[in-house]
Amino acid sequence: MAELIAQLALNTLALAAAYALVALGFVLVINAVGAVNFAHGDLVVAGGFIAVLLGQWFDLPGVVLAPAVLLLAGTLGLILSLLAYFPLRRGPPVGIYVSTIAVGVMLQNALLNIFGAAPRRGPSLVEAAPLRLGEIALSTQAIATIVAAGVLVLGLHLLLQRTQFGRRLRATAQDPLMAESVGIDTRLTIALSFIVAAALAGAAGLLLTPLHFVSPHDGAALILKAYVATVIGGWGRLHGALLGALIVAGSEVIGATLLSQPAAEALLYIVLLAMLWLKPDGLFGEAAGRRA
Amino acid sequence: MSAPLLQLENLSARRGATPVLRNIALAVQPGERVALIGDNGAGKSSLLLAIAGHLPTQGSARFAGQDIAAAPAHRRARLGIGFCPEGRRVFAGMSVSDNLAVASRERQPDPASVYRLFPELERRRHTMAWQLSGGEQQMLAVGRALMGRPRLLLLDEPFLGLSPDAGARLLEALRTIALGGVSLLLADQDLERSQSLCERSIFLDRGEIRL
Repeated sequence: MAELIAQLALNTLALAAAYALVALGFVLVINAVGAVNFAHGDLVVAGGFIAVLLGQWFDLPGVVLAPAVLLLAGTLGLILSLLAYFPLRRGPPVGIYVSTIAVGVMLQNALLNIFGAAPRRGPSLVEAAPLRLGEIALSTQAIATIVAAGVLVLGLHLLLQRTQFGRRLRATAQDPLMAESVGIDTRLTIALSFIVAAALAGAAGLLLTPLHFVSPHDGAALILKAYVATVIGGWGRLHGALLGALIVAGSEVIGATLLSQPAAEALLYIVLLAMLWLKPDGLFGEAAGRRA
Repeated sequence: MSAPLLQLENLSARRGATPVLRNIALAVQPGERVALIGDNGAGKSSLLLAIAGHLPTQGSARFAGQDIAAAPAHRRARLGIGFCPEGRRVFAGMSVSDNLAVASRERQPDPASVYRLFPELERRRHTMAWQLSGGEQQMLAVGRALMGRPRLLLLDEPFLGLSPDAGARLLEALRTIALGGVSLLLADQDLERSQSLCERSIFLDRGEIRL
């Protein structure tokens, strides 16, 4: 029983860690441009397939491949911003919603053509035997996932709070006109936020593939989970997204283990509905003008 | 007389189909303090927005000898045009020190000169901008503009909504800034106050300069 509880907790935290990266990237773009990037889930999938491909080519553990995955996923983010955001930035947000859906579908079909529809497994993050704590064996893969995501979340926090780039990004998110007025090139800053968000999505893909596999159609489910985590945490709130990701992962892992996979899905949306009834603004709310 | 710091000729602008500025000709000399006087809707804010780069214009605009007519707002800021808009528009979700640091183009932002001018801001440097009083937010808006080392400061109704005490302290700070050689272009509805700070006044009416 103790092993089951420990493994359940570890699996929940590992999945939450990966979902947290998905949700953080999702929120970063919402804050930067005020619109939802519906291709974000497909960027996570693309990150997973980049990891699969690099793993096949180089036969190295995921942690070594991580910088290349982040770099390539970040490049996809830049391309996405150039195709789906900048040409439409002066128009209504709905144009950006539709254009990101379009780019996401194109990405999904490209992956489908290249890799086929079958789920693929990416390289393990680390190659190590399970960690034993007395009678309990803990997955080193899950532990490595939590540690890697923790490092990235901490890095993002430091980037946003302690660097001039982070200040510029927050200023652009809060008031683009004033950001321009203090000398910030908001186009460049927004492009960089797409790159960082896509790099986080790529990292999430890298972390998810060894444990949960990846297939080209996974993007829709991932964007839905990021959306739910964001609504639960509070629209546009980064730390809210972390808690939202934990709740989404908890519902999924605990529901699937104790009940069934369909029941787990239902449980997640019951939690979402309860949250919307009880706290429509999410756990951390969204106070006007206090985003990012 | 030296070359003007800012020179506008035949500058016009529209908001949608409505003309808001018509054939504006204006020169501001280095270190000069100029007041823009006019009723609501006269075009004062539009003129400041146009100079800051937030309103598309036709005509000629030069700053420090450079053609800025097509320059985006961030490039104008980097050339030395500081902008304090109506309503302050501080970055509400950022601390006072981050509001100042984000406007600096130094590798190590140093707000010491702003803190000397507005000691309250140093005391509240870790406070979120939305928690400041109106007067403190206005100080922060001016201080933020100063972090970019402007040669021209555009001030849109900076005294609006301030208590008499906060207004007097801001007026004193603006005098100090001007003594440092920064040119001021001030939009204010209070003629007496404007003229106490500025060397000359320009009257705007329905988007045109009236002599």
